[in-house]
Amino acid sequence: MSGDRGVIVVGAGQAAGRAAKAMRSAGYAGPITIFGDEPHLPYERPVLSKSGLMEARSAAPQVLGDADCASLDIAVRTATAVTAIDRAAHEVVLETGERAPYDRLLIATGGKVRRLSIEGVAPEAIFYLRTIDDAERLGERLRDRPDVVVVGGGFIGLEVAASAAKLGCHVTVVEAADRLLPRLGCPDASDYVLAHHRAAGIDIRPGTHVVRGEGGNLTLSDGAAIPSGLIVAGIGVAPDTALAEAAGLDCDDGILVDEYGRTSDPAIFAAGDVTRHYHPLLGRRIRLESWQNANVQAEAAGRTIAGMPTVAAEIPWLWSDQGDLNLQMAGAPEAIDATVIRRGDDDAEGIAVFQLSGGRLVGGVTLNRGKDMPLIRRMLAHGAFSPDPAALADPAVPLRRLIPAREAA
Amino acid sequence: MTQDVTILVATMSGTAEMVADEIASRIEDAGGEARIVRMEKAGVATLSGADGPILICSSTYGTGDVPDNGQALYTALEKERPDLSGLRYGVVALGDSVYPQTFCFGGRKFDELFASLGAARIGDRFEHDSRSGTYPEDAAADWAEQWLEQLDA
Repeated sequence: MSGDRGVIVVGAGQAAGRAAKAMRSAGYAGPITIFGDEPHLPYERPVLSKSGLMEARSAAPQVLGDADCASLDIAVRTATAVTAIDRAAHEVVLETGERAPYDRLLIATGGKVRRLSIEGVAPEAIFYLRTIDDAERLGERLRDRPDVVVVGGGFIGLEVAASAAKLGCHVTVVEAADRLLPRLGCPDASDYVLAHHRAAGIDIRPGTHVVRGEGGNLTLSDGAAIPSGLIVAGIGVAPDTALAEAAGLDCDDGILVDEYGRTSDPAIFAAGDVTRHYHPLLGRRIRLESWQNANVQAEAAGRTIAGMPTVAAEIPWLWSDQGDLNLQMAGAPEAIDATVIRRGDDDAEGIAVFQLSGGRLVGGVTLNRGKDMPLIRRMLAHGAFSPDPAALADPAVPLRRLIPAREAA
Repeated sequence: MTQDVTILVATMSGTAEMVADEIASRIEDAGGEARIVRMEKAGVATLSGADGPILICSSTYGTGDVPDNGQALYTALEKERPDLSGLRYGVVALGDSVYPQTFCFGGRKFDELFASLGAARIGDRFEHDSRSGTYPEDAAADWAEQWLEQLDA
């Protein structure tokens, strides 16, 4: 790289930190500066909805600590928002008005939680969970054991609901869809999740939405009134593309990037939740909000920036820990024409769901049966793998023995 | 091969449990016996009363802790400090070098604790990096074959 102006990373989340580390391990020796809105060094978010709420002082794993920043010579300017990208000048503009020059820019601004508005409820009375600071505020309130209403029965909503229930709160989950987690692509799996949370004492109301708030209660679309000492919304995340769009980069529900993380501007890359990236194993563009993607895609972009072009290509995988329920899913099936379920002898052994299309395995879900997931991922990585459905369904058949050869990881 | 091995599993996402399954299959293929016990179902008595060798199979939590389902056993052993002299054990530690400062800490912590209680580790601790390009179930089962030979020696 020509560069004495170095690399700037906008955003200081997991993808930003991983990408910066990858640049160094790929041998890039120029300046790296990370700008983030939050007052924290890059950290991982998954624990925020669990120990982040349950414990007063919990630590999220750091992606880049002070020691890393010093040893790797990476500058992180926390609590410093970037307000514009000046592509012509190769500079970013900070909220202070200051300008910082770059040779290569990486946008890793992540997502912004979708805001909920409820008639009769002040916007500031609705809690969200995205950052460490959000978790500290919400956790403090939850530990007073209010009656909690969680709006949205997706991953984050159910994770928060389960943690709140474990803290002793009475919890109601309001979900607009008729079943939980339709994205699992399997009604049996959705039913399992519903039954699990109901057994844990969570009041789940599928097929309803909040109509208005009045005097400490929320009125639902079916007319029910439920006490709401605390309202938490988990209704999704939108990619934070504002800077990229204002700079004229190609965006479509995410910054469009290729498998190397390159945007429509050759000097600008993007990685993590904010991107819609071309996935070579799937043969299409996809937006993934996951710990895995924030590692894999960020490292590919970081290495590419450092002059070692690297493709991000791992079978998509994510997990959601909801109280005592561990959910994992892999693949990103567009169409499923057959589903096979493997169950243990009792409920405690959970279920694994195998999703097939034209006889080929295209996706999988495990519910409290994580031991099957590494092998599902291995089967998916195999490419064209068409397992015997009867063997998949039989828990006495070790999945490992269904995998043909000893192929490389 | 007549070893009767108890595999103690501490797992976060399930990988360690799957690896234990594969090791158990390998032990049984070799004519031995293997019993898998998730750590939340094990107590101090599981160890002090064990007839055969113990194989610890543990993943690592991102911050370096032992997995949640192994916390109670770890704490109980630390507190009660039973005399484990006479117990032979092996360690399969799973980690991800994305967390270099805490790599394989789950397995390492159990290893150090067992050793401090007088148990004798047989063979080297097996450590697997999920970024190594090898599957842990294959690599650990290969390692376990050597471990069994060392137990018999």
